[in-house]
Amino acid sequence: MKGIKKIALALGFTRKRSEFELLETEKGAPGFLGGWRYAEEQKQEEKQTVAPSFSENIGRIKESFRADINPDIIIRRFAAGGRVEAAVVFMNGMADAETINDYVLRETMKKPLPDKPPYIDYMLKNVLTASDVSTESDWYKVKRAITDGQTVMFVGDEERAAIIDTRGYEHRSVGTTENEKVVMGPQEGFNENLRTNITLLRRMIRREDLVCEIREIGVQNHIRAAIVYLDGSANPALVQEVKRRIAGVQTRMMSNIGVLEQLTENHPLSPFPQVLTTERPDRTSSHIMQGYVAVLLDGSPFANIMPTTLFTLMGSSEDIYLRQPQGTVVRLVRYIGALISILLPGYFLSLVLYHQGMMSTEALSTVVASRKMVFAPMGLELLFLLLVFQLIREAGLRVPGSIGQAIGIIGGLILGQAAVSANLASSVMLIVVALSGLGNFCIPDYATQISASYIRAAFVIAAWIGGLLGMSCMLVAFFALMASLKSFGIPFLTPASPKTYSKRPAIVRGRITMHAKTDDYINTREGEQL
Amino acid sequence: MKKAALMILALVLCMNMSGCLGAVQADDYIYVVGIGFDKGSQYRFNVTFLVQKDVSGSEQTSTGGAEIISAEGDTLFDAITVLSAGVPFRINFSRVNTFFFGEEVARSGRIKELSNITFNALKIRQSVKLMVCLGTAQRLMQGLCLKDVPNITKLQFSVFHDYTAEGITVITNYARMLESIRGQRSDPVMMLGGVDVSAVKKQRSLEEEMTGAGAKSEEKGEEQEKQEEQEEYTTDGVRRLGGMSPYIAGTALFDGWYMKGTLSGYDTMFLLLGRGELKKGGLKVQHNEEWAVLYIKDEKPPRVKLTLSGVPRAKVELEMACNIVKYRGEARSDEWESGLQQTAEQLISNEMARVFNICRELNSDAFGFGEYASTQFSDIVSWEGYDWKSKYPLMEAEFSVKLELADENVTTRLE
Amino acid sequence: MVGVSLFTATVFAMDSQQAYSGGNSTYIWMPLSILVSLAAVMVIMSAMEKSGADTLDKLFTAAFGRVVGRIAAIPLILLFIASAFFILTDFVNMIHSFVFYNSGYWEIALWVLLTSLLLSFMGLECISRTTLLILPMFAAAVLAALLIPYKSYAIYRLSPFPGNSLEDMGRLTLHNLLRTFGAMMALLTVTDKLCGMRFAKSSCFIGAVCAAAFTALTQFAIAMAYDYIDLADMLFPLYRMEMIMVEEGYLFRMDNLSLFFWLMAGITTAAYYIYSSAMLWCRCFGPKDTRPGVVAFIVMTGCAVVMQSEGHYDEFRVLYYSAGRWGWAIISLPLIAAAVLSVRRGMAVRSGKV
Repeated sequence: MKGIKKIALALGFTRKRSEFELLETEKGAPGFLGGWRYAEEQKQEEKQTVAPSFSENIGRIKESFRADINPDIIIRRFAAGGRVEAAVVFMNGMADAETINDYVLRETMKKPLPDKPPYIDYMLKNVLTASDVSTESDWYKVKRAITDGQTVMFVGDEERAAIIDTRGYEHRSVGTTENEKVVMGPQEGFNENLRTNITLLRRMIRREDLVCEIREIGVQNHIRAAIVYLDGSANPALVQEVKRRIAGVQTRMMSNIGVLEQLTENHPLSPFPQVLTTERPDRTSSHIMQGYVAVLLDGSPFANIMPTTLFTLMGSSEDIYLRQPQGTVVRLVRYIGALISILLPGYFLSLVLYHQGMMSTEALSTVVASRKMVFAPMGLELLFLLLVFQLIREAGLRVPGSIGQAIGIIGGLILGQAAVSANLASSVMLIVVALSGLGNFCIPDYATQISASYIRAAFVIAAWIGGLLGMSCMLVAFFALMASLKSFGIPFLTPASPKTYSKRPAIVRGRITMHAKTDDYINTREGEQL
Repeated sequence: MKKAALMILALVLCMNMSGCLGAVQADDYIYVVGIGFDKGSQYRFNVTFLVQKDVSGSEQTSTGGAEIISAEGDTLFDAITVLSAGVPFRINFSRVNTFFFGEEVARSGRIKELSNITFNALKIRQSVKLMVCLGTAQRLMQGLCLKDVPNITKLQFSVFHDYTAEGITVITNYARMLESIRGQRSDPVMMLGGVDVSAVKKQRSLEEEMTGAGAKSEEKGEEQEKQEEQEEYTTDGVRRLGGMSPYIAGTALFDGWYMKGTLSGYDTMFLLLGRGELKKGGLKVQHNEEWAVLYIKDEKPPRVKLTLSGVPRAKVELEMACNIVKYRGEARSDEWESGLQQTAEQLISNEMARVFNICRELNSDAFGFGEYASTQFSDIVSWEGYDWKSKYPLMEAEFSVKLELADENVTTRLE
Repeated sequence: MVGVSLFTATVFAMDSQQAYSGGNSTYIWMPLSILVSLAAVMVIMSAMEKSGADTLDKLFTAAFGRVVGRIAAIPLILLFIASAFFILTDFVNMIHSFVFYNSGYWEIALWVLLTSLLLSFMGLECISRTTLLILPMFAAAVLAALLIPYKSYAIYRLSPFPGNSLEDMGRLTLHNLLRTFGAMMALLTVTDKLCGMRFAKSSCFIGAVCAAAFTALTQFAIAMAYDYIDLADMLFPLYRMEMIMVEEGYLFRMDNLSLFFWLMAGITTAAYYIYSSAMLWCRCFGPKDTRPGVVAFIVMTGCAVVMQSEGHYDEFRVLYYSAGRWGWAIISLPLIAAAVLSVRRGMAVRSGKV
């Protein structure tokens, strides 16, 4: 491989890594007319530190957290070592009361303190028995700690506060994945707790260079996000770019990772997502091991993996758990399903409107016979049925519990049959739409499924207006849009277009030994092989 | 965002401005699957269209899957214009797969007028197959509109492919016909069809007798009876009962655009042997005052050595395999070696020579010897200067056949 | 891009009357035409590589000077536009004749032109990647057209073999150089975007050789399907390959569908030419952005396509005549420039300056 790379360099097929470095960083970017443009720093309060007065600190806390009207903030005063004025401040419900009682209050009250200050360092070493403690003098960070669920302790007139990790808010336990079901493979999925999600990843990636950098996102609501990558493997330029984009996110509320995805991708209007969103830890960890970067957000049970390509979006974690022939068949069926979903309705419409000669006489007479009493033009009928299908799908998602399953049966069987009997639709068209819908469900990624729905509608309209001419022109335009799309610098259709050195096939499942190597278009650090 | 939206809007507007490309829904058409050309009484042609009915799988097919409609006109387009006025749908020709020519039209050379038609305008493919009908094309097409057969296309497919597979007729299409005539390397040969109403009539009367509906069939007019008498054709010289009224009669031989004669199904087998197109065929051979039936198959293309100096002379060598399907007497391969092989080979050679003589007398290069002749020239000036068609009537051909027994075991033995 | 452009130029954008009237040896002289063009372009590329001129405009500027060099580039710009025009005209005519007989040319042309515009607008990266995506489908469609009627091929249709005399073959080879030369010259306008002249050379070589082989195969198959008399009157022989079949099968009407895969290749080829012409224009005459040039050239091409399709033949007859008569001058311009550069370099080497 090294020899091939040397030859490629000599022939000018590639360039050295340094020539690809991005100039934009987390801190800023070069200015358009020269100079440097710094990233907008989040507005912060005037830099404050912990006051050297106990009462002032408590007063600030009461004022900031509206303690008079906000019962959630708990300020527990006590005597540390039986004599020094101290207080612990925490958010009711966010902090674990038992940890505070057993490992903070009890220990602090009973154990003696030194005669003279500073007391904090002594307490950290000898008194507090919690596992994660630190000190902080930045007032902003002290407040963030309280809102995060940690406990802040003020002792006397010290200019530092102790921060003890007592996070213990209620959260959903690790459950099964709702949207990415597999037959063979782990059934665990992410939940809304960032720490739990990181733990799930760490269970699967037992490497010392697995890095989880925490960033706060949102102008006024500082939701934590974790940027997870293998420091010894991931392309540093990619990591820098991810950090830069996250640093540039300016939004009031970051409620879900989907919002983060839209704010960090290059082409938010593109039909295709430029990050892979998954709720499976196994899928996330396998991508991280291949040199990808994952972003987790506190409060969201999904991970964003970047960069992504069309083939990544069409892949499933189960592909690699199956043997090569089975995995290949499953993948081929998936791609065929996707093609049927997008192209079949338009193709059928173009044949029946413009290219009747391409259909067999039997099929033509069947189509004609099935449409004897249908009043709507075929294009309209097709669009109507596609809309009905989408309605059934949405209704099935929103309706709770067992009724949701019944919607499918009602919609599929009864509504379809009734539509044919009422001459609102023809049976042939119904079959086309049903096949298209089934093919749509073969696409593993939810966002791509929805994209496929409206791309399909575009093809139907193109077929309605222009037949196969419209379809082929739309297909070229569609290919052009995909070919020009990039995800964090990686072309969306890699490794098909542009072709890369990798021998691993994009569509069929390659040998398992091929999957042990990283994707070459990620440009991981050299010599990387799992 | 604004730029993208404007661009998309501009594209959509332009595409809408592109206007209609002539979309017509599939159910606004009737689909013609065959066109027949007969000599018209008032105009040059009586054009008959074989139309597929729209039949879904669950419907009863008491009336069959096809019907015929016809009109007269000097050209095909005139007939279409007349018919369009009387049919409540548009007529779609993109599924036409057969042209039927009446015997009179074929013999008078009126097929040539078809070469002036732009098939693209009607979306008729040049791969449309050709058939000459003894009598009128309309009768034959009428006979194809069978009750209980909902799919006329499959029937047509069966007619064309099954009969050619049996070795009793040829199959050709319009593109090949044009190539033969314009290239002057061979003459077209077409499938020959006929109508034998008697077999169907007899079958129907038998059924009516059995069901007790015989009384109705006796009420016929004189004219109808006379017509039926005249139409008592027999299938290739053999009376039969039942089946379809259209039947395959063999091959029509052409000299350019003009039909000159016919070959029976038996003779067609030898024609196909000479052309290298026989898939399989049966041959009855008399040997030692007994009859043997050979089943010829797996034929290799013939080796033709053609000399053009002076009178063209061709030496055609064929090698083929056969099975002995039926033989009276001892069922051993010794019989084959004792003289059956030579008898069969001689028979085939003689029959091929006879068929060649028929073709030559009709000035129809049905065997395609012109194709071999053209390979002996290196430039078109000398080839076109040679004028093969004028040399063909003087041609002599010698056929030699080598038969091999594919299976030494006789499959049937008569006691 | 080079391979697909060459193939579409030699198989689809071909004058049947001229190619087949004296016999059928297209499977000999067409690939030969590609290889002769390739040889000429390789000579030009070597001269460019040695002199350090990495794009076509730099070649002309280095050889002829700034002003004359720009003027010398204009015929090549027109050649690229004309190449796009030929491709688009032929495809519009093909679709009109075989599919949408009852509609107008404008309606068809608008679809094709807008798609080409979109591709050219998005740049070389988009054009090349789209071509790469379309290539397997295009190749499969062509192979399907060649393989489906294989039972109907006959050797006798090649005879008289070779049909054309050697002089005719030579004349036809040279006459068609203008079609094949443009595809490779268009690559030279964007050589700096292809990681160097060496890579451009290898791409050109591979594309041309593959196109020559594929063209030879295709024309040979066409020659075995139809004889020269039929071919001389035939608009697009490749479309009619399945018409000679007498035995129907499941893929009997594949040609209707294959036509649209060929069209996709034609669209990307036209986009490639238009983009190259706009790029050369921008490099020679100043504008930094190719997009206005792309729009202008595609509008020009579109109008020419529709004019020609709707029967304004007289105007174009003059164009065809001039191209046939003076096309050698267009080809010789870059050759002369390459020769001038080589001579200068030779003199510099001898005088010890290099």
